[in-house]
Amino acid sequence: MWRNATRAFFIVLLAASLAACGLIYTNIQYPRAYRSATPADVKASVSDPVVSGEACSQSLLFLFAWGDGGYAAATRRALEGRPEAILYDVQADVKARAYLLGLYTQWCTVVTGKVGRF
Amino acid sequence: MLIVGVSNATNAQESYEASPSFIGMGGLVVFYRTQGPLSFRTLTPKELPPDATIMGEVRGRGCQHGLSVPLSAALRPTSLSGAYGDGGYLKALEDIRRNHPGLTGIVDVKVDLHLLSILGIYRRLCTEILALGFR
Repeated sequence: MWRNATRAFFIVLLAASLAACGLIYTNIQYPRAYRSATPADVKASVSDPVVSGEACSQSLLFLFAWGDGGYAAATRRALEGRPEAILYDVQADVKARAYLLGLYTQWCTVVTGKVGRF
Repeated sequence: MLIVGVSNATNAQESYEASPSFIGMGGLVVFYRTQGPLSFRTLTPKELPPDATIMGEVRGRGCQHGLSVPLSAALRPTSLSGAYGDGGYLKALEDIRRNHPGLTGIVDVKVDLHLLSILGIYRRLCTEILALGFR
């Protein structure tokens, strides 16, 4: 019984920490949808560079959560310095970190793709 | 050659997955009238009309708002709550059209959700669209 209670406690703790929400203040952005371009959609070439952009939101002490971890921020970072470019062949991943029983958590969206042009 | 071990049946199933994003309210819900995003099949650059001209980045958003009033000072008090607002795709697209009159459509669409919560009393969930507009 004690073992089950401990397991339940840690599952709840993990869920709470990965939810990246603060009890006092939360202001976070997270990804919902991104229908990215394929190589056939853009002027693609084999020499197109592969770029990556990461956007994160984080929470502290289960009380505060902040940050822009959405697709818009991740793609903006990936295309930094290339205002006319578009990402294609995109892979999007999420990355989660939690330290000290979830007292600090970070939840990131990582977008990786090739840089193409219209 | 990279072989991806996912069956066509699984791919087809995933293509039709759609999950709504409603603002979550706890306690005794006395009023709830919101709209949230479900699915939106956006254009890719290949699907643009041949004479389309890219006009640059456009943004739009629609929000759902919620209020939760605790009825006591306990650690987990019962609360009265209510939610209102249009945070669906339609509202976000209306926002884009209002800010960019003459726009024909959008392409390369990124959709994020923006959650704001203050003490759990006031909550706001917005659907935010960032895309390239074309005429």
